[in-house]
Amino acid sequence: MTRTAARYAAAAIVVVPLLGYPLAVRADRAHFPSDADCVRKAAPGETADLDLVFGRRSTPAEAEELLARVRGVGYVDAEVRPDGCGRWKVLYDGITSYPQGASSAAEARRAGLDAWLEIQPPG
Amino acid sequence: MSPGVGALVALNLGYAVMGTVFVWAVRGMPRWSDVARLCGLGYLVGVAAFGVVWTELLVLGVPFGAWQVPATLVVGTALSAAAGAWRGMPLPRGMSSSPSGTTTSLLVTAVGVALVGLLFEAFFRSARLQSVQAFDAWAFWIPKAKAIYFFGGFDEQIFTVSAGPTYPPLLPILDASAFHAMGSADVVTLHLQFWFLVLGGTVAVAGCLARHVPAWALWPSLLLVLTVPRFGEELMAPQADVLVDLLFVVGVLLLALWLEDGRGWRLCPVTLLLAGAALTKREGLLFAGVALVVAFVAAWPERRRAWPPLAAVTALVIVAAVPWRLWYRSHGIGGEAPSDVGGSGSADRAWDALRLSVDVLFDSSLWSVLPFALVLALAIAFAWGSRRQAAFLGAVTALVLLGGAWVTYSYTDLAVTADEALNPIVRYTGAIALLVAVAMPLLLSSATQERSS
Amino acid sequence: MPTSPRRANSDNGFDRTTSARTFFCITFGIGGGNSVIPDQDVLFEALGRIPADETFAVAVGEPQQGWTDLTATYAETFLRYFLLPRRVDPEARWIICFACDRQAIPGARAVWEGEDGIAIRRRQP
Repeated sequence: MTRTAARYAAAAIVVVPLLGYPLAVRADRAHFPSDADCVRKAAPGETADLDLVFGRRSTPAEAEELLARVRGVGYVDAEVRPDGCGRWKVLYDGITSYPQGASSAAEARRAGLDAWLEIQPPG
Repeated sequence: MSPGVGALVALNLGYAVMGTVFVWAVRGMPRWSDVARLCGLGYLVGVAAFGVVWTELLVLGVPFGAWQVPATLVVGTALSAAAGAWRGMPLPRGMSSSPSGTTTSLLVTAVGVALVGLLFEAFFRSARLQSVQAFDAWAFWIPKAKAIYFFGGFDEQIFTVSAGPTYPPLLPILDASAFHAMGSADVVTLHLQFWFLVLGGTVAVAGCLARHVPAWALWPSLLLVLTVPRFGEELMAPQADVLVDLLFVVGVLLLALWLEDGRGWRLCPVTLLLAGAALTKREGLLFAGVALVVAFVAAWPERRRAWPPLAAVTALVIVAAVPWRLWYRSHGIGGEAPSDVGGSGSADRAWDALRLSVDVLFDSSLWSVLPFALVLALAIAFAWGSRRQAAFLGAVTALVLLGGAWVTYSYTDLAVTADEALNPIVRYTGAIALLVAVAMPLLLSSATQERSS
Repeated sequence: MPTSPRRANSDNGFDRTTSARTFFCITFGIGGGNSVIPDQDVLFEALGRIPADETFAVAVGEPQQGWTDLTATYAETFLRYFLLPRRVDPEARWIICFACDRQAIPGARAVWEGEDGIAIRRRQP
């Protein structure tokens, strides 16, 4: 093998596996966890148990402020719960179906709140 | 790449640049290939220098904040560059002077680099999502780092109340720098800082040895060390064991090379590395002492030339180590010294302690075949290679082993057991395991060179 | 672990990068604390409720059924690490109570109660 060929071979021996391994890992779609993993928005027609979520906050105090606003609008049974990813969410869990939830979300938005439907977490 | 990872890359690049410019200033680097080869050594030197300097500054009460980190790196780099310019060191030119090594050596090196690189890619994925599990990590290493980060110094409450109050602060300083770089006390991404330390140490060993040992001796040794069972579990743990071992082992490597060729520049990074070790863990002082004492003895034939610079290195390491000791004593903390320095303990305990050290070293579930390989390499070098190298590396290994036994013997509150909750001997023995990475290539290649000549 | 990320509502006002990092710090920073703190929720609640510039005390009573062997001995050590920069102060307004004797902290009311006798109490100013 000539010196030049040896250099090319050496470069290939180094580059191919070092690039191939992370590319193969990415192709595996290995997912780096994020707090978005605890947000499971409901698609239209969803039949699982649903919550009407008004927002997430980083501290219970901030979540309580939002809760006060939400209750003031009329959602007196709304509550604050940890979302399982280090934040606190304000929600109403009395949703019985997707159409009912969508209607409630629209009503909440008309009242000036953010609102959307999420699938209830397990447990 | 997330911002946290990007920030760590920039920080560690800063350490590497500062340290590599320092190595250039003391050694010179005629070619860019020298820069590439010695950047790992430069990185470790930069880490050690940063930690040593900020230990002394924090003892003096200088506050540690976000801007101090880049300022230190910039000032350190500038001072090293000025020193190099004053000494007339030329800037690097070109890649390499002429093709060196055989085709086989080139291909073996390529395979070695690829395999080590794959290993580090796997380590990265593991380190990226590690949680803080080790007791020592959350009991005192990370609280001290958080205290330096949040409060800007050696917070008296955290540093006196936490476990291990006499443990030196170099690692918490590095961790606090990482927190500042990331903009938060992100203890998950912090594990990547340890990935950088191990990577830098590996590149340092490979780079320093590359010109002195054949590829067939270097890369299998490195891979063997990096893949022992124990390191798979603990390499990226946010504790100081691996860092003190790296600083010590690369210091020993440079001393071994200095004993062979007498090139004085090596003693400059040795000073920083051993001072860094002494400020990383308590046994770092023991390791530094062992390395320097054995170097003094090994340099006996040329003592007129060799002893004065070695004495200077020793003095500087001691000077670096003292202020921290003064700080914690002034805050009412004692107890770094063992309860029984060796006078009145029982002979049974001494024997049990020695046997424990040997048993742990030769435990293949921890260190695989490393100790056996080391013993074989020592025997080969004694028989057919450089007896001086074998004596130096063998003596360092033996004294470190005995040092571990002495720790068990003299700290009477330590149980004579390999249970890590009760005795640190397993972590302590990591220094010997890492030493194999530098010793084996040197010893084997000395035998090969001697035989072929 | 889901194989594809789901996007949060971008109208909820969060800085995505900061909240993602917070998630890691909290959940993965707990790490070994799972062997010490029986109810992980107290860690989230303490982080959220105790301001970063305030102090807290840890009061530990008799071990409860859900505790580990490490809880009584190391709860304060772990909380000191986890809740920094909040410092430990026996006279603090905030008290993280592990089945503590409420008579010993008169005037402190519960702001959060979990399982196994764990609560966060606050002395009135």
